[in-house]
Amino acid sequence: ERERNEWAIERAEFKARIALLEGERRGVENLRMDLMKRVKMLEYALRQERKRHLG
Amino acid sequence: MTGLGLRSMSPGTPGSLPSSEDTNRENEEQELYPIAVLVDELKNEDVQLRLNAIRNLGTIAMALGPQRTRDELIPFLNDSIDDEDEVLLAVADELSKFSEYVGGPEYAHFMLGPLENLSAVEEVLVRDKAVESLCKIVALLNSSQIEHYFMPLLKRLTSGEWFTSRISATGLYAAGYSKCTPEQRSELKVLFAQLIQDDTPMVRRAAAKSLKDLIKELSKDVIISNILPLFIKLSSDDQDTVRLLTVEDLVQMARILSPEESKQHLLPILKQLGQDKSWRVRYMVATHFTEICEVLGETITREELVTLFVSLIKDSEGEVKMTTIGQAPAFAKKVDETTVVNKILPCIKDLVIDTNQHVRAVVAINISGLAPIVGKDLTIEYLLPLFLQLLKDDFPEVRLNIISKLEHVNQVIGVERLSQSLLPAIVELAEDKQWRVRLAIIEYIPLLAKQLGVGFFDEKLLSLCMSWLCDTVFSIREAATTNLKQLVDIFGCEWATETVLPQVMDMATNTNFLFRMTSLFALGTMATSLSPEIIQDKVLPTVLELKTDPIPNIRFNVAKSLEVLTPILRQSPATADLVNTHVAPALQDLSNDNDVDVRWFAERAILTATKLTVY
Repeated sequence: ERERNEWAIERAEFKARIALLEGERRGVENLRMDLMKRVKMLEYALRQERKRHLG
Repeated sequence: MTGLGLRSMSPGTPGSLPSSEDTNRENEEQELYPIAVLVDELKNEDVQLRLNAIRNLGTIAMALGPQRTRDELIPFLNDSIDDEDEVLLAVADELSKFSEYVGGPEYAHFMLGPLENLSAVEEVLVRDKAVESLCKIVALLNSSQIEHYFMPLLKRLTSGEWFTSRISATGLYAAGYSKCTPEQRSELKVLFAQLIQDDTPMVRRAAAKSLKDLIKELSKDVIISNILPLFIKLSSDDQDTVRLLTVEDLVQMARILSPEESKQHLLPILKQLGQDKSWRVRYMVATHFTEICEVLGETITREELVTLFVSLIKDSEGEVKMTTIGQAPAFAKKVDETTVVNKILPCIKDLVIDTNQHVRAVVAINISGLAPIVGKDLTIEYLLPLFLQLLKDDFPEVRLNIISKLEHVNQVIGVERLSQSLLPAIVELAEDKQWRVRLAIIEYIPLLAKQLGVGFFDEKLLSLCMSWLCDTVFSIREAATTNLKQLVDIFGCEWATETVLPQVMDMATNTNFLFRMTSLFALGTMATSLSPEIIQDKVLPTVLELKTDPIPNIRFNVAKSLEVLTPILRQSPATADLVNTHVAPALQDLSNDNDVDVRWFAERAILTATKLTVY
């Protein structure tokens, strides 16, 4: 009985850990998307700027 | 936080029919339009991501360029930010570094708009940050910007309907004052006076708090003619939270005024605050007492402040008493000796028998600071009896405090005189019937030894320390062994071999097995502080001798001690061999003992020893 309890507790702990890591991963993924967008924005701004200079 | 008419902002051409390539480009253009990117990011559910978006607000501004940052981003921040306080805090912080993005200091006033909004929000942290940023930006403004943008802003905030904006306004006066023309300055004074007389105590409190910064910017005449009447009003406010803040303003004013002016204008207020009916106000006066003495100068301190100090030290509230005592040594330095003896010492005498144990503890920590000030004779006459009384206090912290500060007294009256009066008290406590009292004094011995030096210790206290090893209570014996280890740390190995070790080794042959065990314990605990050579010569033979002891308790403690000694012997190449030649055989013998505990501890010792060899 005790072993079974311990096993259940351990399982719950692992599950919580998985959830935490998955959440973290999602957050990082979202952040990456945002950063990519920022890079594209800056690239675009740079292109425009350059066009204006040449023109 | 919506789409906010992006379409109208983006420079598309809705009239012509776009080809597919054009649509692509237009889409790209729309999506990559910096404000659209920002809006998109701010739509995210995750606060952390929105926070990141704001933390990198500079990138957006950089992509937009100065002109469009001013025309588009700042208005956007102005009216469409409505988010968690955390994000707003970040906005307020970022805006303070924005002047390069809007095109340099001549455009710095553009940031005032969004910051003005932020300085009116409900959350205190956001408001404070906005005010902080505003102050930074004000420093960049030129005179025309001050006139056209800063002054109107200050007026708006000062007469804001909601008290939050008025609180924020108080923080801006000090930053702006030095930049203003004389006319504007007089206007500022009028506005600030309005804040000081505000209806809500929150605003008055904020005004009292920022008054001290404003005072730094003002000249003497202005302080006396304009600020003083307002200050008097604040210092007699009906809220004690407002009154207590005026103490710091007073200190600041006294710094600028000459001692005579301070005496005339500030001293009455100070006395009034020092006798305020709220103890928190008196507490503030007590906290700043040394500072007050410094700024008012020695003459006023001597003539006027002694009575105030005495009344504070006799206060009914423990907190006030405690802070005042904390300032006693510093204050005593500033007044002459007769005052200390006649006025301050009697108060301290009363406090030594105060009913509040925390007060007594603070007295104990500060009283020795008075010794260098009153000199040798007076210390012996007045302070020593108080020391002895505190040393016998029931509350352990009092005793600890008095012992930990003995150094000062030692320097003044010399170790001889100190030991004459102190030693009887310590000996008395060391032989107290209550073992808890004995234990308490043992804990202070290392501290005492460190301060009084080896000569004094050997002569007077060593025998006491050794006698504790033979105490009837185990806790005392145990404390005595750790005490010996700490003494060895302080006085060194040499000292240990000469004084402590012979006596400890003597105990190993005592007829009572408990004393033999104490000897083992003492050797075991001291071992970590001794050199391998000493262990080889003195400790190890004694320990090995006991391995054939008739009592099994001794035998398994031998095994335990050997476990401790092994790694120390290994440290030096000269003694490393002993592990194999002496320790290992002894442990082997013990592991064949007929007592189960002895076998168990011996085997454990062997295991740790082999583990050490492997790694």
